Amino acid sequence: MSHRISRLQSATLAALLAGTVAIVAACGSDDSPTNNNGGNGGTPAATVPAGTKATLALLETTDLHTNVRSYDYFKLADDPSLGFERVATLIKAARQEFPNSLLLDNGDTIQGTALSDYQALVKPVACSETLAMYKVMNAAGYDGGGIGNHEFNYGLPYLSQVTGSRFNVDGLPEPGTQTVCAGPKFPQVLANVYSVKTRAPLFQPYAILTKTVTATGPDGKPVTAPLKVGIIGFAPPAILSWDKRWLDGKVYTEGAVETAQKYIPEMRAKGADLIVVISHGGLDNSTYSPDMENGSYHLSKVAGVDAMLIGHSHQIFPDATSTVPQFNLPGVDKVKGTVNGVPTVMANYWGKHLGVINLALAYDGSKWSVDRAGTTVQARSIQNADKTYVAADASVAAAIDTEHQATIQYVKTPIGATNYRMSSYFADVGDPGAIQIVNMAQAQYVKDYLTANQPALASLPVLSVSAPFKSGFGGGSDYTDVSAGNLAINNAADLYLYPNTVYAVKVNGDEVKAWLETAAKRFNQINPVLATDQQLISSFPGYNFDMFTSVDMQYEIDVTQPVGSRIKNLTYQGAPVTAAMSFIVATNNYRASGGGNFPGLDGTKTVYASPDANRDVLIAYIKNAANVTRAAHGNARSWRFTPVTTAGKVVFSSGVGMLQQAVDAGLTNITLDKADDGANKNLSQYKIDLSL
Amino acid sequence: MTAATVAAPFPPSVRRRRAHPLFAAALVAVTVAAAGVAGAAAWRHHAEARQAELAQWQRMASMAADADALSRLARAADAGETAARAALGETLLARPDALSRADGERWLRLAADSGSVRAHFVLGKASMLGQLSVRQPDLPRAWTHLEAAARAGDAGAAYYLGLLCRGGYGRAPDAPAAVRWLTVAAEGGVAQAMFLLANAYRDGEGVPRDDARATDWYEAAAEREHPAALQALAMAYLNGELGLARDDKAYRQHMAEAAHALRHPALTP
Repeated sequence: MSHRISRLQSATLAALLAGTVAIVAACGSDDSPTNNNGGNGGTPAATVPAGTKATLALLETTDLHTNVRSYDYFKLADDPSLGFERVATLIKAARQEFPNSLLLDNGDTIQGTALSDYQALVKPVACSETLAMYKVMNAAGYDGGGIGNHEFNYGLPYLSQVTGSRFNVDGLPEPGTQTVCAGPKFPQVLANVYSVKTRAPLFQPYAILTKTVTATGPDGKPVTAPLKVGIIGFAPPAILSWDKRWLDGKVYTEGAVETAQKYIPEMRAKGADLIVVISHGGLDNSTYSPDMENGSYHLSKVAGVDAMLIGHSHQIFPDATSTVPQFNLPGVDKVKGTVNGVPTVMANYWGKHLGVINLALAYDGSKWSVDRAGTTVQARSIQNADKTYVAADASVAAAIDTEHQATIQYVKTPIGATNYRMSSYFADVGDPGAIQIVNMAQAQYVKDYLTANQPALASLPVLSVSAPFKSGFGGGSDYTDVSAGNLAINNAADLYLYPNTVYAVKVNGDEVKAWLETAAKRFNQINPVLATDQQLISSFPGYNFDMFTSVDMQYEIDVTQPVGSRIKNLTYQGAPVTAAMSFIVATNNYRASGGGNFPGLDGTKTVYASPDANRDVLIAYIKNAANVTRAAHGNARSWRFTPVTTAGKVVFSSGVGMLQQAVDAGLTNITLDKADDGANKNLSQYKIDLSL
Repeated sequence: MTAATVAAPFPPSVRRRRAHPLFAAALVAVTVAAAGVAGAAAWRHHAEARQAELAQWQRMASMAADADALSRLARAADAGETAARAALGETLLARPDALSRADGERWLRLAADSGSVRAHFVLGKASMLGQLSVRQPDLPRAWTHLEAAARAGDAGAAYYLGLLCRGGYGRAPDAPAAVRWLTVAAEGGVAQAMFLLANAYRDGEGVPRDDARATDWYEAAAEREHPAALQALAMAYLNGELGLARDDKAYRQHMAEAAHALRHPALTP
C-alpha cells in the first residue's frame, strides 16, 4: 500500500474520530516525563550552536518474560544463559561506555515464568506492591517501555493494576473510582490499541522524554544540550485473537502504519527532536495490512522514524550470520542493523541480549538529525566469547528474593498424593495407570466448559484420549514413572510431557473408529502360525498411540489384521458405535490441528480450543481429587487385544525389572523373556500371551 | 485472511467484470470521489483507497461494534457496491444473533454473484464449517464457493478446498488434489496448510514420501509460530525422525518454542 492511500485512510479515520484526537493530544502532552534519570534540569536550549554533535545510545531489552533471575523454575536450578540480572550488568557497562543513553523495554515483560504465574494467579500481587519484574526495572532506571502481546495474557484488570494504569474499558470501574496501584516508574507507550468504550488509546500512545545530553560544540568544547526523544509503541493486532477471552468487545486495534502516520507529526509538533519506534513485532515485507502481526518493516518506511527497537520474534538483530528469513529481506541490512535505512535492533529474548543503537546526532542550529553513517547498532550477548557468562548484578536478586523464594516453594508444594506407582512401562499392552488420570482430567475440564458455554454440545458423550508420551524409545529411562506418595508440580510434567493446550473435537462414530485404527498402527501385524519370535511394537511413535480409558468406550485391537482393519467390537455404553453417533473427544492442540496425520483431524473439528495447558488442567484435577488411587484413577481399560493363540512368542521391550508393574496393573499375560533385550538401551524383553 | 481484502484491492476476476451493473455503480461512486481525476493509475489509486476505507469501517464495525461504521457500510452496500456488500456481509455473519447472520448471508450472496472473491471465500468457509445462518454444513455450496475463490488465487480458500479434498467431505477423498490445493495455500503463507502438507509428504499421502520436503514445510510453518509444527520438529529431534539426527538441544529448543507459540499461534484464514 502506498503512503498516499494510507494518508487518505488516516484522514478518513481522523474525521471519524474527530472527538478523540483532542483527548489523545492532551494525553500526549501530559505525559512527557519530568524526572528521568538522565536529568533535564538545565535550560541551555538557546545556547546550542549550529554544528554541535552528540551521541545517544538507545539500550533495548525485549521479551524478558519475567526472567528476572538466571533461573529455571521447572528444573529448580540456575541457568546462567538467561536472566535480567545478567543484562543488568551489560546495562551498567553501556552506561559507563556511552555519555548519553536511554534505557527502553520493548514488552512481553510481565508473563512467562513460574514467577509471573505466581504473582498473577497463585498469590496475586497486591495493589500496593510492584511486580518483581517492574521492581528491578524501576531500580535499573528505565526511561520508557512498550507493551507486547503477552502483557494481555492475564487480562485487562490485572494489566491495568500492575502498570499503575486506570483503564477506561468495559469490565472495569470508572477510572475516577479506581486506585492507581504501584507499577513501573517509567512511561509505557502503546499507540495502536484502543478502548471500545472510549475510542481512546488504552495506554498513552507516545511520550516525549527530555534528556540533557553532553555534546561537542563546533569548537570542540563540551556543551550540554536538551534533547527531546519521542517514543511510540506498537503491539501485534492479533492480540484480539490470541487473548480473545479477555479482549473481545473491550479493545480494538488500528494498523501500525496508519497509527504512526497519525501520531508522529503530532510528536514532532510537540518538539520531539527524534522519533524512536518501540514495535513489538518483527519484519514482514508482504503487502501491508492493518492486521499484520509483524509490522516493523512497514513502520520503517513511515516518514520521520529515526530508530526502531523491535521484538516479539525472539531473534537477534543485527547478526551478520543470521539465516532467519525476516532478516534476509530486501532493504534489511543484517550486518549494520538497518531496515530501509532506519537503525534497528532486536535483543533476542529472556534477557540473553542487550540491544544498543548508538545514534550519531548533529545539530544544524534549528534541529537535530541522525547521522546514519556514524550510527552503530549491536545486539550484545550476556555470553562472553569464551562461552562463560557475564556476572549477575547482585542487586537484582536481592531486590526480589522474597518473590523468588515464594515461587520456588510454590513449585515444590505437593498438589496431592497417589497410592500407586504411576508408570507407562506397560501402557502399550494395556496398563492405563499413567494415562487414565490425564483422560479423566481432560474430559472433566471439557465437560465443565461445554456445560457452562455450549450446553447443546455438553449433552453429547464427552470422552478423552491420550497416549503414552514416554514409551521407551529413548531406552529404559524413557518412561513415565511417578512413585507412590506425594505428587508435586514437577511430577505433573512426567505425567504430561508436552506443553500442549486442551482442545476438544466433535467427531462421529466412524471418525472415532478411524482415529483408533490409526493409533493401532502402534503394533506390527502378528502372524499366528509363525513359530518364530514376533515383535509386537512397530516403529509408529508411542506419542501417537491415542487411547480411551473409560468403561463407557470399549474396543478390541486385533493385531493379526492389517493396518486399518484392527478395531473390533467398538461399543459405547454397550451399543455398537456407528456413524450416526456424535462424540466430543478431549485431546490436545497438536492432535486437533492434524499432528500425527490422523484421518479427519485437520483443525476443522475443533469445538473448543482452550487456552489452558493440559498439564495445568491435570494439576488442577489432582489438587481437587487430593488422593489419586489405582481403583479410581488407574484401572479403567477401554481396550484389549483380540484373543489369539500364536505358534511362536510375541515379544516387546520395556524397562528392566518392571514385571511387578504389569502384575500390579492386573496384566496376567506378561512374563519376562530376556533380562536384556540386546539393543543396549537398558531394556528387557517381555513376552505377551495374546490368548489370555 | 482479512489481509487479502486489503492486499488485493480488486482481484483480477473482479476487474474483468468491470461492465457488471453493480460494479458500474461502484465505479461511479469511486469516480465521483476522485473529483474528475482521470487515468488508470488514478483509478486504481482511488479504488485502493476506497478498499482501505471499507476495510477500516469493517474493522470498526466488527471489533468496536461501531454503529456509524456499520451504517456507512450498509449505505454503500445499498448503493450496490460489491466490495461493501462483501464487507457488510462478513461483518454481519460474524454476529451472534440469527437475524444479523441471515442478513449477512444475503449480502454475501449478492457480492459473490457479482464476483467478489472475498464473499466466495467467506461463504465457502462458513458452508463447510456449518457457520451459515442455518448452522449446518452445506458441503455442495462449500465446494462451489471455495473453488471459485481458490481459482481466483485466494490462499485461504485454497486451504479449505485442500481440506475438502483431503477429508473427502461431500465427495470422495482425493489426496493428490488435496496436496495441490494445500501447496497453493502454503505458498500463499497459510501456516496450517504448510503443516498438513508436511504431514502428507511425511506419510506419502497424495505425493511420494519425502522426509526432506516434509521437514522444509514443518520449518516454514514453525517460522510462522505454528505450535504443532514446532512440536513435530521437536519430537523428530528427540527420536531421530524425518531423517534428522537425534539432538537433545534442538529438541528442547523446539519444544520451548512450541510452548511459547501456543500463546500466539499462527492464525488460520
